[in-house]
Amino acid sequence: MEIFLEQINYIVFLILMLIGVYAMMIKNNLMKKVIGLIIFQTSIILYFISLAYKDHASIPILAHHSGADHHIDISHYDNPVPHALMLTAIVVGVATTGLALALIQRIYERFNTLEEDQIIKILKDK
Amino acid sequence: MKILSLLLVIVLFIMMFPLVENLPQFGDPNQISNQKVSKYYLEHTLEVNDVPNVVTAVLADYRAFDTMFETAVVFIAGLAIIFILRRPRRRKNKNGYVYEKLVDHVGYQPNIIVQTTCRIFVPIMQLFALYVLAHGHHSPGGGFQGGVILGSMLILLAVCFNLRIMLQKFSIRKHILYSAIGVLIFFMFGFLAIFFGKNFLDYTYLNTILGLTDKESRSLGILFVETGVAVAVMSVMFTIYANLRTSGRINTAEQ
Amino acid sequence: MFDIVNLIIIPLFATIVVRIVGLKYRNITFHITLFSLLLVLFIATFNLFNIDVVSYVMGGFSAYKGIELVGSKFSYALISAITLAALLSLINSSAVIDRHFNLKKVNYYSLYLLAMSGFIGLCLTNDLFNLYVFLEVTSLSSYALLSLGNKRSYLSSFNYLLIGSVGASFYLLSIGYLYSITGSLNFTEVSNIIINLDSSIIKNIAFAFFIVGIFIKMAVFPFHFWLPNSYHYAINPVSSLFASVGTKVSAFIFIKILLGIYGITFITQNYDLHLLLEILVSLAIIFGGCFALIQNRIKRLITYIIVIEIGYIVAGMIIGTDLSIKASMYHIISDVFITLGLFLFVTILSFIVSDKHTVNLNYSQLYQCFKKSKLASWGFIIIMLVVIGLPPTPGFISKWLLLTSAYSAESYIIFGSLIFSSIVTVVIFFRILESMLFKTEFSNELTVRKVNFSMVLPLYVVIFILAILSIYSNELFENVINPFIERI
Repeated sequence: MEIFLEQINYIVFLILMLIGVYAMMIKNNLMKKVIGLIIFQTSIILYFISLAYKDHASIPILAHHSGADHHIDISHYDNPVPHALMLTAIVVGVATTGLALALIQRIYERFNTLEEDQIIKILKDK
Repeated sequence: MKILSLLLVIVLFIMMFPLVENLPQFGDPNQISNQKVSKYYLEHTLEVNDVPNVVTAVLADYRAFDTMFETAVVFIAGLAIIFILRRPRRRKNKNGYVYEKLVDHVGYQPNIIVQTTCRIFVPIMQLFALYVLAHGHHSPGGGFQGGVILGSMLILLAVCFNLRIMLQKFSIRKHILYSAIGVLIFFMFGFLAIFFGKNFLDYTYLNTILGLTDKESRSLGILFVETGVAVAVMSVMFTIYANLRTSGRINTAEQ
Repeated sequence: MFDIVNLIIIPLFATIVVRIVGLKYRNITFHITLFSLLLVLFIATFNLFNIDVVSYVMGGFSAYKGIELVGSKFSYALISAITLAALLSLINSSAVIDRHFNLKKVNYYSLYLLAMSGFIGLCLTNDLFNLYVFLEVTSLSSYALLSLGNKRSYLSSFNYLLIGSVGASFYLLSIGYLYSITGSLNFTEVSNIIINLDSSIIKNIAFAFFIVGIFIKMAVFPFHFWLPNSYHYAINPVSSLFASVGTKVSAFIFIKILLGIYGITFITQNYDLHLLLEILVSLAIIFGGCFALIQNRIKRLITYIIVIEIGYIVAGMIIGTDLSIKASMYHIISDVFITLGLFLFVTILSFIVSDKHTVNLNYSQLYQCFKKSKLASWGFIIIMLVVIGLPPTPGFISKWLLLTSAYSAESYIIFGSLIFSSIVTVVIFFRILESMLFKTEFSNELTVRKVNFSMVLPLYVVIFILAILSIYSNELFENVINPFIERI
């Protein structure tokens, strides 16, 4: 059991991802499905950032001794690569959310409701 | 249906729970993802770029191609929201012409406390955004962060004052133009490298133009490129806000 | 001038130019788009005939420290195919956009060029995270472009957005797992490390997430539900672009990562996994066939034919012999043109039948098409013959190779489903032939318009290229496909 408490970041990532997927599957309202998608994407970002963590390490900004050729000990600095990758992933998530909200606005104008079962009923009646 | 999904989710959790112990130890400094490329970046970036903030160096120099297409993603978001939401004012219906109802009076409620606070905050936000942008080399910051602060400054103005006045001063056409110019700045600083015989996005061509060393020209190239990103992000943030708020029915004429 | 990086940055530069110039001069945007895609086609075909494998690293760093692009002959061939598909869809789209969506013209062409830039980047990149960024570029532009049209298209594009984002995020998660055991994001470096790693659990988890993500993007059986709706309700030029390009480039990514990082023995030697994937692929082909049989609407019928064709490509990979992998890769290129031809015919048919931009097409309207334009009808019949797999056509080459390798590798499930789908396509073909040539009682529609030759010309360009693909198939296999497989 202690092994699992040491890897708590992966457990939290798993729980968040499954909450997001569950919300997308069962919620009826389209807006809540979008919120489920956002939670799901955030959990993946959490996974990457937790890969970058090192014990007793500081942020990946090098202490800048001007000109001196100090030996840089990498165990004092967090891994910078997942941080950079996740900046990109966050921006992609923002763009997807903006698009989803715009599509929801158009769907609402057409069907006058955002509940999925009512939309399916309207489509069947046509 | 709900119970089936709940069962599926619980089964997935129980299946993946024991697999967690095979993943690298949380916080282990010697795991393999911290060696190889990451070690090279941490150890050599002061010699190559002279940029202490390694995240900015990775984002804007080593992986600048990714960042260019990420700026393109931001640009796509702005374009796509205009594409989806804007519609012609005059439409032909079965019975004749139909005019779309425009959202003209967007919440103008003069409140002196809100407006005065806004007037105090906006110059501070602009200054801070430019500081975050320019200081991305030495502290957490950079293009995206500065651009988002500038975008939220514009949104604050639109919330405290009238959206219509904001759009009169700074119309959606100008925002589209600035976002395109932001991507163009990024693209041009990478593209000029090809004319000097180097690979795309190799900033060292600046040392033939400006007479700097390799390190300094890379550092300067990162700054220019981040400026382009900030301009693009600022415009797109405000475009998304304005279009989502009025559902595309803004009283300005073009596309 | 002929560097492979120009293939990606020319559409990107063109989209910025289109967007800025379009603020003032809107009519020139079509010509800028056309010119830039022609330039990309020229550079891609030049590279296909003259230049071999090339590696290009951005920013002047060494290969494993920066982002690398690798161009091989197969990727040049695929890029030429998709650029040609984009050009032919573009010519069709100018008529529809000018007439019905004139206010959205500039944004339409900008999004079109950005989508093409993303697809070309997907074929060329050698860096795993860069592939994710290009995947998102193409996905976002496709969500926006596919939502144009009638009111139902917004709902189907929204459903595609939900499931497509989940697929791309699963791909991102799988490269996260691969990064945690290899420490690198470059495709060659990761494949060198992982091929030597035996039966690591993380490798299997990464494979599972990758398969789910890429099957969502490719529309293979359990995850194909977004495809018929979103391509049916979109306007014709947009569906002809994304149907012919989108799923095929995802299939290329699937082949590249499966062969390069995991190796084909990963699937063929693991009996349970092999059985599961065989059943999945056979269900994909059988369900596609069944749904295609019950369809009355032509456009929806064609989207189910796409599902069947993607099933063939994945079946070729799952069978796992040398010959079947080569058949899959040949089928990717020929399927770009088959799907393009089918949708080009649908464009012509909807132009004949009605004035609106979205119209329901049944079998009953095929007779009007036959009366108004015999050329277009014969073109459609020829392309359906390619889908069935009549001997000289490229469809026959891929189907025959798949059937023989399925039989020799003892995958009888796949063998049975291939035969079933061939029977289904023959039935559909005869149904089309009957409603085109013999049924005369449905010709009561009033607005039947004349079609001039320039509209039918793209269809015959596609048929010409399919003929070239079948005549030169030997050279194609030797020079283009075999080196790719040997390199990996």
